Amino acid sequence: MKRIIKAEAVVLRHRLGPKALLLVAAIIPLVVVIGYSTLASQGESGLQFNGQPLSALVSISGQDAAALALHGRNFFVMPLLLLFIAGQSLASERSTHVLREQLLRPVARTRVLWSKVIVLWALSILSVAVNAVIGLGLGGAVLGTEGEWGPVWWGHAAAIGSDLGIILFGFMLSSVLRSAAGVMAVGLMLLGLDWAVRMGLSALGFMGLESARTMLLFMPGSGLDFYRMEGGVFSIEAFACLVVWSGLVAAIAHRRMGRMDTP
Amino acid sequence: MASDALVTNGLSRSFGHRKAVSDLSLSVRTGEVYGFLGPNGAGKTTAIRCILGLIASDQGRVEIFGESDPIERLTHVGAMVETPAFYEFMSGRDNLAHSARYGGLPQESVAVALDAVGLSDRASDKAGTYSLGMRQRLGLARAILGSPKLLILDEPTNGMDPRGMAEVRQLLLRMAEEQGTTIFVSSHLLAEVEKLCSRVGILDRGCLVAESAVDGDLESLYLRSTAEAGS
Repeated sequence: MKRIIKAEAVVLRHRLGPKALLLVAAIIPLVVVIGYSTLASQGESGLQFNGQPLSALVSISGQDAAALALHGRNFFVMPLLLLFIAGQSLASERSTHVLREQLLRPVARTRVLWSKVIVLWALSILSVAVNAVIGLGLGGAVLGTEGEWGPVWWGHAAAIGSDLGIILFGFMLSSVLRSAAGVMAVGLMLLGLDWAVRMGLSALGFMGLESARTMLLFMPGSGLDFYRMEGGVFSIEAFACLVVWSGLVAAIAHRRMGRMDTP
Repeated sequence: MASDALVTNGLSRSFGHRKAVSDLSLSVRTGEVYGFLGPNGAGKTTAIRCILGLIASDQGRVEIFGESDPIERLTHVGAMVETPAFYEFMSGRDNLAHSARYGGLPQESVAVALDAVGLSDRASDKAGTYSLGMRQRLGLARAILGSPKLLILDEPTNGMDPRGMAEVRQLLLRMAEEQGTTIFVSSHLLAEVEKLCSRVGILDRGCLVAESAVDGDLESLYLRSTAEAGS
């Protein structure tokens, strides 16, 4: 399997998507740190809200910047890019017949799938590291180190798990769809639907409907939000939800890959 | 006695109600060059895909050098199915290196294969810039990586000019004669098959309608067999 992983890594290195992913992973924390430091330097003379300077209303520290950069990364941009690259790696390769050429070699189809997953996951881990180095390092250096850093560190570590969930979801979609754009569009639609349902359940829970709170725990997005570390604590429910949903989509992708006709 | 390189037994595959390949049983002897003929839509490519495990067969069995496991049987096979596909953003050499890694073949085999098809001087160019004929050559280079014992080629000279076709024919004949490579080649070009193959099988509407040594008038045999099957 090592040789297939190496072959897939070479292909990924040649694509534009991974470069864009790393660039975005660097830009988001950079923009956040620059934005926060600009806000902090303006003081009383800066932007105001309700007669109060914005810098007095917003908590500004290195830890806050790193947390915001992590949320910015994981909320929309990274799922979008990970879905796109997963789609390129499997759905597009299938429709352009490149996958066929790979399967003409004596390798198990499922090994091909898992090699692609591992390589993309390694790339996402690298992007988390880039995000962490700039967000935590630069944020701390420029904006100070006060505040509780533990949850932010753990949040970055947990993002590795959340990314794997998105990647597996992308490959599951890739095993049934025929283009990277299709994987991205359907993936975002389903994630958006999940987000809307969770908003509804949260509202119902807020109004006192206990079953809505329980249902919320089982939504896929609750698992993908594992990185948030709500309240700075490790959520076993979110982790379990991530594991169960990731396992399910991985099993579907594995089964589809093993059985699908290759044009 | 020469053993069989490729054996199919009762191979069948349907798409909906249409039988693309029906009860196909043939054997290709080690070292021979076997032509797989048939009109458009006869089921040649579907049969080749079943043999290579790209699509599952509904019924039947495939053995390559006695091995029936869908992965293991590809160990000694080089193949090219229809128009070969490549990573357009990678060079011809990198595409072959990728394929060599997948097959666990030595990277040195890349240069040998590129040289054999006359693409060494364009190997650093991106595959996306290749003409149809060059893509066919690169596909052929990928198929012959590591000198496989069996070559399965689906329309290998498609899109090539007459000189290119002659060069490919010479290459395949050389591989058969010097390395004892078994070649299973599907083609529409009867003249090419006549020059290349020692035996042919003719497929029509998914069925093997004739099998014969190439020693007479191939065109008559082809027309007679496909007409009989159609009647």
